[in-house]
Amino acid sequence: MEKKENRIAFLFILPPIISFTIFTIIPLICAFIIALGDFNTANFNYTFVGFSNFAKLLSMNNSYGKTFLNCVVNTLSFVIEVPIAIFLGLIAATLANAKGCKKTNRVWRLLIYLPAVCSAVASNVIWRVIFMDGGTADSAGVINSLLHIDVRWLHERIPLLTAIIIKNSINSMGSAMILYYASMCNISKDYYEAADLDGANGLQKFTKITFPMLTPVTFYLLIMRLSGCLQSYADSYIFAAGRNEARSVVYFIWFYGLHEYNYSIASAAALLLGVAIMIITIVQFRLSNRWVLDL
Amino acid sequence: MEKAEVNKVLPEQMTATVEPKAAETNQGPTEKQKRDRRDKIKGIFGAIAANLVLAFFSILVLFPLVFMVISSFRDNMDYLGKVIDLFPKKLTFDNYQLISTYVNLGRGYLNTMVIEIAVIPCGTFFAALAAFAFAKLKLRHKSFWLLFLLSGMMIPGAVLLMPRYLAYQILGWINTPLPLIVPHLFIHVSMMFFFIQYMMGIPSELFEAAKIDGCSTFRMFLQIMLPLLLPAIAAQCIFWFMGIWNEYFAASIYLSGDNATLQVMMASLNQTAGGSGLFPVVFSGAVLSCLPMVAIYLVLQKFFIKSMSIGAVKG
Repeated sequence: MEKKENRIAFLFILPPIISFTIFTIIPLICAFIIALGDFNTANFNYTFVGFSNFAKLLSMNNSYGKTFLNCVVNTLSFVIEVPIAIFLGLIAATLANAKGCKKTNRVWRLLIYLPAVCSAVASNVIWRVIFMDGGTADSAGVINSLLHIDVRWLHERIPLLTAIIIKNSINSMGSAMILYYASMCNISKDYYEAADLDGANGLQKFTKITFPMLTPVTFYLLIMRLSGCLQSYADSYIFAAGRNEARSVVYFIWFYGLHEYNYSIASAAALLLGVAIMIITIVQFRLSNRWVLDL
Repeated sequence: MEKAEVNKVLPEQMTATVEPKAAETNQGPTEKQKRDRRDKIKGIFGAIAANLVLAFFSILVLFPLVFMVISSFRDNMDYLGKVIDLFPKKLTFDNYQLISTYVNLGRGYLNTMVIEIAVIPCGTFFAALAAFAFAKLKLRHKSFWLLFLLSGMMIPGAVLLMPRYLAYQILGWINTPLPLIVPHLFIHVSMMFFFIQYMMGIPSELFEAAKIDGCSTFRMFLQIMLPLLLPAIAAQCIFWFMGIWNEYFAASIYLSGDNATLQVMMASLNQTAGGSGLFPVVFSGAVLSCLPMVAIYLVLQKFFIKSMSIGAVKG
């Protein structure tokens, strides 16, 4: 009986295990093999070259290294969006949870989350027009004409990266707000009543009760948004139209892999990205017991 | 906002009429009433301020969308003459008709729906089946297999891109929807994990009783677990649906031309029509590509937001 149930249970988990092995484990091993060699896609010639592809990416003596460094710097600057969006979401949720918004908060939550439902493509297309800067063949952009400024948002590095950070902060603020709001509603009123008895003011209640109780959500948002940002592609490809100043690491992988047919360099870059994300995630989990409240 | 103004006046009048009486009797209540009144005014100003800030956030967030919708109905020459015109005099549907000269958006809808319909029911079934085994059945090396599957969540898609592309090329799957369907038919780790958490909350006695009655394990899953799991299934499927609808990276790699999904067509419309300066046409395409999801969101808003919060808090 016990043995039979064990067999059936294993049968139930077999489809995902097989699928995972075929579509993730084997490709992962192949990615290592490709990255450790020189792979010619035209005639499928393969020569083992050790870690030289990784060395190329990490040294500044060749074009790969320089381009890769550029992509890494860009990708890291995309990450600035994460704390801004989380902070804006926290403010919005706190305000929506305030007494004065009892009747209106449903509408605000509905509206502020709306952009998260729209696709990245549509959102990038529209934001591109908003940041357009009258450069080559573009018409005047919305921001520049609204504020009567002439910033070359889509053509210079710092404005371009700033534009990406601004648009991503605004777009991902909604999901942070919804999660924070839901979590705030779950905080027991007892804590606040006890704080009232002790004569705590609003700010103290926020920093001593609300914020600590929300740390699991903050942690979740950090993990999800960070790994999302590090894998961004549409920002570089659609919003920045592939401009060198805003190419991300995934754009680099796509460009060298599927555009230039240099699978080995692309795979090596992808593995470096994977290791980086894994390390960041593990470090975050390790550090989490210092600041995340264990509910 | 107007309502708040009215409320602001009323309490003041009320306290003003009551105050002299209280002052006659003793000093205590006056102090208390003064404080109450101050708190009330503070509360009203607080409410106005909070709502104003939230309104500002909403405008910030919605402006691009509103701009997109309005501009999609504007004449192109008109648009190029004056980019921002939120109350245009002349509205036209020409842009929506012009889309078809660039991309076949109807095919895009169809291609996206084919993937949705092929993947979601099958993927959900197998995720639930595996979750049932993990949550309710006796299984040797259970935690090992769970960790094995969960480890997949750590691996970014880009790492697997080259080997997968190569394999699909050999199989002749490029420019077919198969690369976007087959890998997702039997495994959806985050959904499975969510189902496991959800099933843990369902009492095991139900299944023990069924087992005594001679119910087979698979029937237990089908007839007892699946119906109980429906709320969790609905919550997860709506986000899976949205994920596939908005998926771009993989779709853009494997699909092109008439076989492309809606989002890939949208991106190529941006390149062709947008490249020749026909921005209102691009906007109309963007409106059409967002419309179904926005409509679903507005109709199911409560369910949407609730599902999102339980998904994150538990998963």
